[in-house]
Amino acid sequence: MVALMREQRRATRAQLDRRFTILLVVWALAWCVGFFALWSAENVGGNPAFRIPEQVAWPLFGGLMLAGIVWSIMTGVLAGRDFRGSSQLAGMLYGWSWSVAMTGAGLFTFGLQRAGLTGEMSALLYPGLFIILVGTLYLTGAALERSPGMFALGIVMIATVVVATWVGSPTHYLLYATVGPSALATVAVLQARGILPTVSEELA
Amino acid sequence: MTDLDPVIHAPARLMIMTTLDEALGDRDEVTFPGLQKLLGMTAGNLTTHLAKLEAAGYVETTKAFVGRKPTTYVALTPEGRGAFRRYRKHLLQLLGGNS
Repeated sequence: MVALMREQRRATRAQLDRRFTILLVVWALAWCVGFFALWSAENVGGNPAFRIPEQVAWPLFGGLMLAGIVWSIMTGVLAGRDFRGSSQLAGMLYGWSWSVAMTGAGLFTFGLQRAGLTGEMSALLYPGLFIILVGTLYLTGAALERSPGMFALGIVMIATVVVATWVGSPTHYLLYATVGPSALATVAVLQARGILPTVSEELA
Repeated sequence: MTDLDPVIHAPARLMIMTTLDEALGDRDEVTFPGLQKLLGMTAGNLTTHLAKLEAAGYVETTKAFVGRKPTTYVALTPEGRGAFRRYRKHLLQLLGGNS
């Protein structure tokens, strides 16, 4: 009976997390390809092996981020389909907190640009600001879901921004293309295998 | 083993209670098809076991309309969650393990 309970808990968690595991993989790919394209872009990049035109790199990066956002929205909508109650409300508010935070950050950077922010500074500020927000929202999501794995992911995201910004442009694009996706993929694999530590209410 | 809650101490009902405890927070509900998908049980089997759990006051079913479609929602009652946690604790004490 203990084995049955353990297996059922694991199977339930895996089913509930499956869409979010796929979402992590989608974002890992989007980050990896998107930031690698920026690192390989003419003028703004630093790839010593080859370069691609900026007119290709920026739309590719933007398109991948947009695809990730659309996938995230669909994941949130589909995950809540069979449920109703207080958790669904919490999930909906958490989903909206992403939209509000990202829109606010976008308008904030727009304002900075109008005030005369230089190109070199914006190359560091834009990804840094958005990824700091992603990290912070992961920390909040971790508190909501009682998920230490998600909390660790939030810490890695914020630490990556700090290190990448200190390293400077254009190498920061390479760090965003490698460290972020690696962390996302690691959490996805651990989640898929059901070996990610979770805080059991009984143990809490 | 005789002191273990007999309503929960049946493999199918233990699976249902474990799933509801894992998937639902307080005041949350899951649709009948959603629960069926999580458990991989037939509708008839799930209905039978839910009726026994409902008679014991451990789960609550509510019928509602989603658009024009009638839908049954299943919730774990506070008594049900408490009974499941007591059952699990008791079982682990008897076996000296943890889950």
